[in-house]
Amino acid sequence: MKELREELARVGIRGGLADRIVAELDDHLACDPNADLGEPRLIAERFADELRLPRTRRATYVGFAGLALAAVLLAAFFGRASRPDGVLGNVTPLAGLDIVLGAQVAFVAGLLALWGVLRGTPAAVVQRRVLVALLGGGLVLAGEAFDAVAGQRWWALAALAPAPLLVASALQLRLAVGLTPVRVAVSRGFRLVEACSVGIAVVALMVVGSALAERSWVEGADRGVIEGVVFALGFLGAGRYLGIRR
Amino acid sequence: MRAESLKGHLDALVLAVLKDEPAHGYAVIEQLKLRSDGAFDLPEGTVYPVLHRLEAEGLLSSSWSTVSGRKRRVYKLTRRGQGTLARQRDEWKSFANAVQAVLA
Repeated sequence: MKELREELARVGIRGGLADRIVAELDDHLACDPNADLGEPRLIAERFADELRLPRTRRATYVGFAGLALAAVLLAAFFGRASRPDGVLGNVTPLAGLDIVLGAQVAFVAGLLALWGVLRGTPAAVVQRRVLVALLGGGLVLAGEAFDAVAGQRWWALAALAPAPLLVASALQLRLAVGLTPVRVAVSRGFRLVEACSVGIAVVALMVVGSALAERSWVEGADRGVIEGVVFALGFLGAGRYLGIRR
Repeated sequence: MRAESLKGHLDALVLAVLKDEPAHGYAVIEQLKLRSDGAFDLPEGTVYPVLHRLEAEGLLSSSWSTVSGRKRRVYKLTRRGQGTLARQRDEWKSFANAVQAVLA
C-alpha cells in the first residue's frame, strides 16, 4: 500500500482521494487476501486515466456557469451605465479596459472549452481553455471590485457573486491538470478558412449589435474593426496554446 | 474473457450489478464473476477506477460504512445512473440483435 500511495502521488492523486483509494483496496485485500490487484503503478495510472476527463468536464461546466453568471451581472452593470447614476459611467478607464478585455477573453475561451468537452478534444487542451477563461473571468471580477471600491458603491460588490463558482472550477482544474501527463496529443485546430469565417461572423455581430445599441453605424463599424483586430491577434498569438490554430 | 473485450461495456455491467442493491468494490467484482458464470473474471484493480469515474460522472454515489472495524466504501446507483443504465441496455439490445441477424 505504501508503494501504491507513492504511485498515486506520482500521477497527481494525493490527500483525501489517495486515502480513500488505499482504504478501498485495503478492504478488498481483507475480503480476499489472495486477490491480485495488479501492479501499483498500473493501478495508479488507471485511476488517473479514468478521473482526468470527468474532472476536466466538471471544471468546464462549473467554470462556464460562473462565467455565465458573471456575464449576466456585467450586463446589469452596463445596463445601469446609461443612467446618470450608472456604475460604469464613472468607471476608471483602466478598470473599464480590464473588464471589456477580460469579458471577451472569458467568453471566447469559455465557449471553446465547452465546445472542446462536447467534441472530445484532448483534456489538456480543454484545461488550457478553462484556465484562460477563468483568468478572463478573474480580470472582470477584479475590475468590478476595483470600481466598486474606488467609487464606494458597495452594493456593486454583489457582482462578485460568481467568485465561488470560479474558485470551485479552478480547484477542479488543478486536480485535473495534476492527473494529466505533460506530453499529450494536441488538438487539430481549425483550418484558416474556418477561423476566418468565425472571425467575420464575430465582427459582423459586433458591428450590428453595437450599431443597434448605440444607434450609430459609425460606432458599430469602429467597434467591429477593434473586434476584428483583437480576434486576429488572439488567434495568431494564443491559437496554438488554445488548440484552435494548426 | 479478456478485459479489452469488455471495453465499452464495463460501465453498463457495473451499473447493472448495482441496480438491485448497493455494494462495495469487492462485491461488485464478485457479482460480475458470478452473474457471467466466471466469464468476466477481471483484473481486480481495474474495477475500482471505473467505480470512481462513474461516481465522478454522477452515475453512482458512495458512502463509508464500517464492517468489522474496517472502513468500507459502498456504491449506490443514482437516478441519473438508472437512466443511463436503461439507455445502455436498449442500445445493447439493438446492437446484439443486429450482430445476431448478421451472424445467424
